[in-house]
Amino acid sequence: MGREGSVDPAVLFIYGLVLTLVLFIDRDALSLALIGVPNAIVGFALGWRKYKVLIALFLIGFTGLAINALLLTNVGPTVLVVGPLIVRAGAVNTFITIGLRITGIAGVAFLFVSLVDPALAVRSLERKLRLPKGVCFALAYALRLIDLMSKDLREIQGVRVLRGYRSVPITPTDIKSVLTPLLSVGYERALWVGIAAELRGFRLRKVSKEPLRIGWMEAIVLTLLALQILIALAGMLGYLRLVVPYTLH
Amino acid sequence: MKRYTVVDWAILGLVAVVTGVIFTFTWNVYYIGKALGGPVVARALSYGLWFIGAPLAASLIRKPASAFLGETLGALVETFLPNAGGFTNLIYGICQGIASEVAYAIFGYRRWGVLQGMLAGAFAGPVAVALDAILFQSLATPPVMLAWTIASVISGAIYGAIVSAIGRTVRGGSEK
Amino acid sequence: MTEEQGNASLEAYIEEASYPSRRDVLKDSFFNASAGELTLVAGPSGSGKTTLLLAITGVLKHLLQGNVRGRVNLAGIDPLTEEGFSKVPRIVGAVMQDPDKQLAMPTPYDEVSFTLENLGINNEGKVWDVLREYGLEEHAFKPVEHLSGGQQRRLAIAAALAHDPDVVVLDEPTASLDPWGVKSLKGTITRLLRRGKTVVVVEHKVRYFLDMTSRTYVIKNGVISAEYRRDELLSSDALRELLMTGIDALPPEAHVRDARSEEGEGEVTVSLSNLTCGYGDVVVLEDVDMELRAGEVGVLVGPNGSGKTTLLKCIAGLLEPVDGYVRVMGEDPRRAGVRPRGRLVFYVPQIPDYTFVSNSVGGELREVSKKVGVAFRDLVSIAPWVKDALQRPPYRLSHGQRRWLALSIGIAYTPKALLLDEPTTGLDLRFMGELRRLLAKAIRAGAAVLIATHDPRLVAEVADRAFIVDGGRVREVSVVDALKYLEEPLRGS
Repeated sequence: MGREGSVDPAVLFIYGLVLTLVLFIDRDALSLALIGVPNAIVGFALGWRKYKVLIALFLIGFTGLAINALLLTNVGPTVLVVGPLIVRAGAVNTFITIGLRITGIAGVAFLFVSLVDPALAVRSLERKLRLPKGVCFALAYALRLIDLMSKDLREIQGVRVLRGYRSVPITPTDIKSVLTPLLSVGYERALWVGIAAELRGFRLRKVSKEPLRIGWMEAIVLTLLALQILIALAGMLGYLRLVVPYTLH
Repeated sequence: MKRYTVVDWAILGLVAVVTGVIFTFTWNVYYIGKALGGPVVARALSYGLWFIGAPLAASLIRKPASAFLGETLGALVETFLPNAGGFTNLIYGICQGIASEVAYAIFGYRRWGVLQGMLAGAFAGPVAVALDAILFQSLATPPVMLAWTIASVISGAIYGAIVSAIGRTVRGGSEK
Repeated sequence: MTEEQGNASLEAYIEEASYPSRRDVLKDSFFNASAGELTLVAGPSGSGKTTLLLAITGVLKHLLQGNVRGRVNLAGIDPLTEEGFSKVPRIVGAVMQDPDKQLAMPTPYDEVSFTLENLGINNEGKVWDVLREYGLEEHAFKPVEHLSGGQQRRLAIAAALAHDPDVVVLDEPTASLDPWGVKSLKGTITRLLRRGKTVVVVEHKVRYFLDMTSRTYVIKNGVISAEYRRDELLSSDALRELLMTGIDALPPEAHVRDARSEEGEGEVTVSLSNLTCGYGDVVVLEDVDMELRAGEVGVLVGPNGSGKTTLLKCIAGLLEPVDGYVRVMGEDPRRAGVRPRGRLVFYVPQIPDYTFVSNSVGGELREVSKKVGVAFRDLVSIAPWVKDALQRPPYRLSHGQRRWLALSIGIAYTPKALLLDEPTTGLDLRFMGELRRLLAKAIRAGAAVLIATHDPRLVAEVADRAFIVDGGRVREVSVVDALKYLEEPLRGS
């Protein structure tokens, strides 16, 4: 009957946040590859069934990245000539480094959302990472609202069509006239939800803190995280080099 | 400092999910922009919409830290939703939230109107651009940075003004 | 005032109570409830019923920063003091108007454990016991929005009463309930009374509770003005008196239609043939055939979640039919040439706020004027209060006025088919007259009207034709039979 995943969500949260920070600041292509590629393979594989469209959209974006790299950083020695197009080392470097970084970040993101039940994650954040009860209440309520407010949005869009307005907001005026009813209904609800929660003793709430449960799976995840931090450090400090001779020109 | 009531926390949950909905929409704009014009154009097109959590929360709650919490919680909710940004949302959210909070702090937390909302959106802009410069490294050449900064400040101010006007309509009462 | 003050578990005298922004919402009201008894507070919309609940539980003073003067004794504590207020949750279980406004957690399990954890009960077994008691065990980890309306309502009650409080207060519990839900609610209240709980219900639909209440207070304009014992409410004179103030105290009787139907039949406006509708793979209704003529008011009756709203949306072209077809004036609304589509068919959602596009009433009317070519001043003159409200955001009008405005916008489009979703939810009887006038106006302009509702009084007041929506099918019945169908669950309970 339970819905416990195999790894504590708090541990996965730490893994995701720390690793994303590492990828964010790491500027060494080789360590970015060593971290980014495995995470992306696992993340995309886990998320593929549910998030096909998003992953596909993400991958299509690489064409844009290539264009940007060519337009803005196409300097240095020539690497490749395709007809009139001269691709230089700068553009290749940009494409590879940024591509690896955002792929790694996206991989970690899909890995996290595929493995974690958000409601459970919030419980875990409150009990184990000791986030304040108010923050956790807001998060849990937001998760409850997602479906409800998507329904609100569909209703608003429906009536807009009947009244002769664009259903998908484009201009700032559109956005305003869609957001106002959405927020107005939401504000009134939030007020009553707050009253109901107060009467159910929110003021008295004291959740028993629990230590992080470090089982086998958690130990593996944390070890992997430590390993990847070391790789990034090594990369940034220049201790990591490809020994395979590589000739691009 | 005024204490946060459970109603305030519920409103923050509301803001988080509304910005989440907007962000979902923004992500679509972003993906399409990115496929056609790369991250440089995609960023410029979508900037202002990422900053609305702070002015919206502040204009509805009107307590110190509400701008920061509005932006940060929106970003935290977003990390739970599937999108390619993942935990970078949280990093950006926290930094942008702090920047937007300044807009209310310099008025001594006494004014929560459209002007402050505009500033909150505008202040978040350069912070987002600075983070982008780290994320996109060599792509962020000086001309791109300049264009990004202008786009982010202008759209941040526009959307900041819009959502704080909405906040006033929804909450009612004066700006104080 | 009463003879059995000895075992009173709730005793309150509110000298004055108000919100920070308004003055004197409640005045000079005495109120008293005893263990093992149902105490009813009856009053029309806006009479101060809910404020009374918020005042006596301390919420108005301590959470909403309102002003409350008076004394309250709630099982020995005083909720008006800070210390007493912090004890209120242990003693009181409060169920609010509708599930959307009180369910705060993503799943039923989280919802129930939220209450228990707040009160220091960190016990998984207890959570499961409560879920089992309310028949929600199998749905423990389902997203709340995927529960049926009835299940959401049960969850709201389960979460409010998980810690077995001695005093139970319910704020307009029937507002969003169908008759089957009302029956189940009455069962829950009976069980609570049997266990010696003090139950307070605040309602304008008092007729559902007259057979169980021990004492009924009537509140009007913020003052508790009358108190009846159970036997005093057996006379129909007393009930008629309540009815006059907007309180629903008597079962409805089907109205005799005026000459409308004898004027000859209008042309067929809405026709559905072999219609199957639903969302994606989920079929909600199958094989619906229906014809509705200009000038007719049809009602769709049936339990919550039976597909009434789905059918309306399908007719409005907001949902694509899975099979079969929808025609309004011979056209498929999804591909109609008429622009905007609202001139052909207009759907007014249950929550009126969804209808608005402007942030002032005046702006709203100007938008309508632009889209349909009716002069602005004609729109302003349709109700006396509109002139004074032009600058106000429509969202800040009273609930009844918002309903009125949304409906009036729909009618201004002079649609051939006007579709209304639960137009009376949360409103008292006084709104019924307004609604009748507005519908008459739409009909004069040549519309056919179709209303989704589970409110028997609305059916009795306005229906020419009735359709029962249940078990995935739609069948036409007489208006009298539709009323019987809606009243059936409440008979002899």
